[in-house]
Amino acid sequence: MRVLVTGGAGRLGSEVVRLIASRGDSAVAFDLPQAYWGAVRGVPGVEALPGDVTDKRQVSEAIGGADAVIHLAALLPPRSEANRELTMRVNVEGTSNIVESLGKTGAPLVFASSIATYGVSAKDQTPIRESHRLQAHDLYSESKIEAERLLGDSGVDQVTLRIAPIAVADLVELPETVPYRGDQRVEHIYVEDAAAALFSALDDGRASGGTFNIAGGPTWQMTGAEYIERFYDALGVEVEPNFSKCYTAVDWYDTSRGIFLGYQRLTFNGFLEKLRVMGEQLGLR
Amino acid sequence: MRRMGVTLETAKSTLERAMGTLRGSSTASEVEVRDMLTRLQAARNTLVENERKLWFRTKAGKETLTEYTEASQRLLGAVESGSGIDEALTEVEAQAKRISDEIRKRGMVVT
Repeated sequence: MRVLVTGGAGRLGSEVVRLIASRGDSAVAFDLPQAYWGAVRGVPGVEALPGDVTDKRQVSEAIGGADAVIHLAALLPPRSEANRELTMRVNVEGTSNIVESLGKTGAPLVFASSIATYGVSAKDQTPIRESHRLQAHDLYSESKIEAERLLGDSGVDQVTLRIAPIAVADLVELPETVPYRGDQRVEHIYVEDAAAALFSALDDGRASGGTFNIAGGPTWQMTGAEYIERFYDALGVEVEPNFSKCYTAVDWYDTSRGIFLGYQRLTFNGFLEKLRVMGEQLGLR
Repeated sequence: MRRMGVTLETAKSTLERAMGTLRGSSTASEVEVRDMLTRLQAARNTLVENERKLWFRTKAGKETLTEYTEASQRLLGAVESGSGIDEALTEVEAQAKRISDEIRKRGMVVT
């Protein structure tokens, strides 16, 4: 099977293409020419294909040779909030271009949506289920809701995954303002587990036509302050985080509907162990 | 141990000295000096904007900072002698780009 992965050079995308290649399939990483390609170039079974999802011709040509598509390419916060027109062009029109091409080939699609589509849910009952109302709170969530609607109306064979914030076992710079409150419920997902969910959604016919929350699971459910403290403590770095004063669109999620995808492999304690090893390698511990 | 002694302040002050010397230069035209000062200021801004980043606490970050400082010192020498300024400035810019690229790819991802 030849799988096209849009956004395939990115942090999550590069994990996905490597996973596909490791399973014996071939992966095509489709991403902007100016993207950082270091994580995918030279990986056996992975083809690097520079291109832009807003370019219909490039999308059509790329999809023409694919048996399946995993669509990750998007403008993410904070860049998505700077320019409405650009965000809608990349996140909505880009998805529309993919849908249009898939309408001709009939290949299946896995779409990476976001838990941001639920909006700010801090006052709602948890865990947040897939049936929770969708409510845009910024340009990014608005674009993802619109892209989901577009896919739902398209008749394309598709699966939608609403993915929680991605956690990587590496040094992550603390932003000036952490994008959630210290007392807010947060749940992340380890990047390799998110990649496994995307691959399983393509591979397992039971997922077809469904929408699923993709998050780390109960061991990853904690407050924002607890997450930041444990993350940087494991790395071996002292930090003084400045948390958001407002609740934001991160919460605890009910992931039972998509549990058959078998992606929740790393517990939070397992993640901390990886961070400790990384902290030593980086000379921080 | 020498590397541990290198600080961001050393790099920044070396570039400031280079800028000061460049302003008083009589070997380059006014336009050339203005262009070089703009490039130098941009390279220095990379340090100022990122000086509180955690990456500078890593082994790789400290090594890069050392190389940046050494490149700054070569630039200062070039400015003072009036020769090889462009090559030295290009090297400082390359080091600044390394720093900004490394820090940019370590941003927090919230989907």
